[in-house]
Amino acid sequence: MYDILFFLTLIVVGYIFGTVIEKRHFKSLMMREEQMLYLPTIALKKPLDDEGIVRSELVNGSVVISIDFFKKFVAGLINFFGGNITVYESLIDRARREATLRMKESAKDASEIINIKIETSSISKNTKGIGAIEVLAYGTAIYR
Amino acid sequence: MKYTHKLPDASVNAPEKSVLLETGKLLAVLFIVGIVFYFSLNMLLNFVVERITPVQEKQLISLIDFTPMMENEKENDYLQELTDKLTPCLSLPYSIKTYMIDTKEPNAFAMPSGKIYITKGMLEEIQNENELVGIIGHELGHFKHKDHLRGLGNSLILAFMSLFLENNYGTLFDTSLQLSHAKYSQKAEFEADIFGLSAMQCGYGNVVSSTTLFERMNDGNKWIYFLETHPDFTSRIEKMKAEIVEKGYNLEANITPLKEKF
Repeated sequence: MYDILFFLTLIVVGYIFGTVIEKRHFKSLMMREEQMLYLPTIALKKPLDDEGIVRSELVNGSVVISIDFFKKFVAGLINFFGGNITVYESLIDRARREATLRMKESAKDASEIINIKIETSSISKNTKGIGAIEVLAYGTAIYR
Repeated sequence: MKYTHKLPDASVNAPEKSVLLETGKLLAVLFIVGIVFYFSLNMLLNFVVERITPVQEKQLISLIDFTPMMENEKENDYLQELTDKLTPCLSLPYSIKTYMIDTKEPNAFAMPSGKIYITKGMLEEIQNENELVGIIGHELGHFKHKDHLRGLGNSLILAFMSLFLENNYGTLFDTSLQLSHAKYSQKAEFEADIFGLSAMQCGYGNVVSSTTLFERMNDGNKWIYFLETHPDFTSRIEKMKAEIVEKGYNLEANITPLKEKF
């Protein structure tokens, strides 16, 4: 009985806190993305324009976000039936956008960031506990 | 080539969906599937159990090692002596051993491999030997009707099903697994009562005081744990009394006091 109560508490706490944190994060992401919109981020290998480049440097941004118990529970449920794990999709989206933003924020004076790569790794993958995701975004900042 | 500034579109990679609704649907489907699965396996179990002969049962049980079933089991000569009086009335191919376990909740149960467990809490409630014989008779009834096999099968089904959920919700099922070994259907309890009376009459010579323990259980809240597994005492007492009258069991005997205090 106590097991079930404990389990339900974890799920409810996970849902409430997870939802609040996620909403806040998305809000902050949208605001900051608008602020950093002036800086072009490009996946091309070469700059759009070779003229006037004074220097370039490697920039990166990384973030680690933990899943919550509710997300884990829902993902476990979906494992039975198959289908999109939307609770993870939003998590990964947050991590990707946050990492890209951090990368941009680390090169505020650059004229553009080129050759952007995004990599991901999962932390505590094979343990029974709650996992976390790391997303790393890196690219070459071009200064003119 | 011209670069266009563009904000990420959140609705593409992380579309907003009602997670709670989705979860509710999945849970409902999983629940229904689980129930259907559980009941079909139980039907199969009943089908098999009804066709197992006591000899096959003995062979089956010998395959599984049940020795450390209860951590705090204690042998008791007095309980064993009373059990041995009743066992000839069953004609089972295996011997029945009765143990006392050091638990406060009043309860008694029949386990596969021919073991009867009576808790200390139960023994302390018993006021005379006749009541004790009644309890043993009732548990022997579970062996006679193979309820212990059903209980074992049921635990196995739950364990099997919990394997599917192990990764995420394994802990949920531990509790139900522990309890299930003592839980038989109400019908099984009635039948064990009726058999207990016949065993008592056959091995002990009378059925005096066979319902008094139940009558005391009917009031008093310390029996709540026992009530969960053995519901509805009033109708059980009624059925037992009707059976005594119908079969003409012997009620004309003195109450035997307990030879040993528990």
